[in-house]
Amino acid sequence: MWIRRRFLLALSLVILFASLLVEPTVGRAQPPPTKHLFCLQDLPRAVLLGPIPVGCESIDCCPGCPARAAIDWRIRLAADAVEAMVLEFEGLPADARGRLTIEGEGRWLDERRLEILPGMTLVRGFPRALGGRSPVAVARVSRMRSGLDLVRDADRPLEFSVEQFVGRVRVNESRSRYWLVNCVRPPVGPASQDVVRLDNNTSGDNGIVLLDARRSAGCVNDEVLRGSGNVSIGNALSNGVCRSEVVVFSNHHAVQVLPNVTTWTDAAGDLLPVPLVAPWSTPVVIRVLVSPFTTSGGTGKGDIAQDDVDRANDLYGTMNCGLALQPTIIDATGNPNAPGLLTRMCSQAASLRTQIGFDPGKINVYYIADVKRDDAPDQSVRGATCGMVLSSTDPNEWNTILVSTLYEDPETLAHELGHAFTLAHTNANPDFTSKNIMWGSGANRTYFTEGQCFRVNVNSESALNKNGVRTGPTRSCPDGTTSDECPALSLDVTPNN
Amino acid sequence: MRPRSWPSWVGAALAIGWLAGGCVTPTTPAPPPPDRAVQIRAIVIAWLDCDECVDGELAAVVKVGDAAVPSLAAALREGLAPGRLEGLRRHLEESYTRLGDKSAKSRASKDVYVQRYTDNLLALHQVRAAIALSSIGGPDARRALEDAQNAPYRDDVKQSIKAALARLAKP
Repeated sequence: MWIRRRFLLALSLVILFASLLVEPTVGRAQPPPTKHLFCLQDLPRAVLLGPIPVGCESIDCCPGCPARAAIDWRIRLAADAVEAMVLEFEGLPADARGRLTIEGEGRWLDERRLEILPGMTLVRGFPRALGGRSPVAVARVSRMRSGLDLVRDADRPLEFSVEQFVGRVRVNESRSRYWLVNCVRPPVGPASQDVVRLDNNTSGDNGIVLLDARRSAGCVNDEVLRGSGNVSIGNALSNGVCRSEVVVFSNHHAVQVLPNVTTWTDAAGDLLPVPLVAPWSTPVVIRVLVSPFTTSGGTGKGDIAQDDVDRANDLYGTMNCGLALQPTIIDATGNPNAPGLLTRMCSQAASLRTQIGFDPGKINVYYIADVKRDDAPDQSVRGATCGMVLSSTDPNEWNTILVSTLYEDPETLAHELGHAFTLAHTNANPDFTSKNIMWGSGANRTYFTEGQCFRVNVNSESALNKNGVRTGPTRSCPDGTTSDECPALSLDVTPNN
Repeated sequence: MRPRSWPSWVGAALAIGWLAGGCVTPTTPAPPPPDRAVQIRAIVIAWLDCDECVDGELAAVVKVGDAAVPSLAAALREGLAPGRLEGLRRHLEESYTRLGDKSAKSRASKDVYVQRYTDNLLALHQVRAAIALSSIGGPDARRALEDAQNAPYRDDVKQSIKAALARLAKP
């Protein structure tokens, strides 16, 4: 009996070991490790990562780092669909390049371009200080695998990272991690597919369609499809027990949410027209208390507020959130109360509302010199959305935003508005990077996800809905909730257009 | 054959040497292990960069304690790392390029736009470094603040350093 048990144990160990040997680590069908989706068709034209500056993130590199030690790059590419990537350097002097040594899967194509093949590449010997501006590199896909099949090669991961080391300490890192998807289903013949038709798309946006429907294999949720006019979706079947919803994101239009779609039949050839409309025109009243309001050189605080609105509009537009801020920028520098209100915290914001002015039912932003923390008045912050800071239910608090002219960055206004639209910080979510606008200690922030834009639009507590800016279905999708009704917060489709 | 043994005076000499060596070893703490160094960098940067600072960023730096002092002192003294500065500059240039009508009467030039936000970030880091140094305390933190007292910082940074030293002076 025990011999049989030992035999079975040995056999199972052999099978386990063999399965480990034959199972590829990249390339097998597996559930997406990330909700950052990259349309396979767009991979060759996109910058995947960059610019990546050569150098440490912090001024001393790391506690105890040797002062003059060189920096080594550990570059990792893991992707089945990609045969090679190129890192294109700018500002790297020839003599510095000549001193670099390469180990692993990389080679110089010319003076500036380093080709990286799948696997690990180590580039040793970047100088810590070159004087002048630091060199940077931009990463692009240079060669797709030959015989690329859009259907077969979809649903695969693509990971690319550059980690910078001083000795054994990682002193900087840049990562991109995508799940490749086939976003386009070209029609193979008349009436062979169902179609979502994007009407009024005069700007030719490459729209993103999120589809919940029934397929022959069962219910599908948040399937991603793209197009600018007729978006072929294959054959969606009659709803049966499945949820049926279409959501359309695009650069220059409001997000369209169509719940309970009853268009689909078991036969192909169904058509769902989706009329695209202008982005939600969102009033924002900005009162500037800090002098000067405007200057001919554009350095006035009112000028800066306009720059910040323009930056926010660029972000909310190009990231597919479908809203357009309509600012009214008021010169409050002449208000006799202004000099006494230049340093405020949210619990003192009532004084701004009463003494400077307030438009109920609209987002009101106050550009003051210094915004303080309510729980630590000796600490300055870049900005604050008072409803969130005070955990308030008062709509006036949620419509009150403070921005510090001393410490704001170009994305501070967009970040604070994100809070007014219900978005929380993303720092604790491993699917986000510090480039996300809602990262609470971010730098060089550049993106919202479609999951965030969805919440900005549909959450009933969003200022868009509470202030009556938007009409359309609402629901409650907290950041941490992913369900049939609420796509993952991190659901992101690249490129955005 | 008996195993070879060292004369007993060798052990005594080694012990004396080790003790003497310990006496002259500088007080600089050993650098943290690589993983810890990466953690400390992330903790310090999160505090220097935070928007509303509602996620316990300062408390985390204070918890690191003395090991964070060199990085904070360097941030106060030298500002942004060259690589970080270059990343910021490129980001600002790109965001400027994406702004609307460049011919708007009151639009700053690209250089002015880049400088404005670079100055803000630099000052924010310095103000935050000063606060964290005074919160951690100790002779190295005090020295970093004292050394910074007369440097040509922005007014708000100078005030912050002064306030930080005043906090340190309190019993």
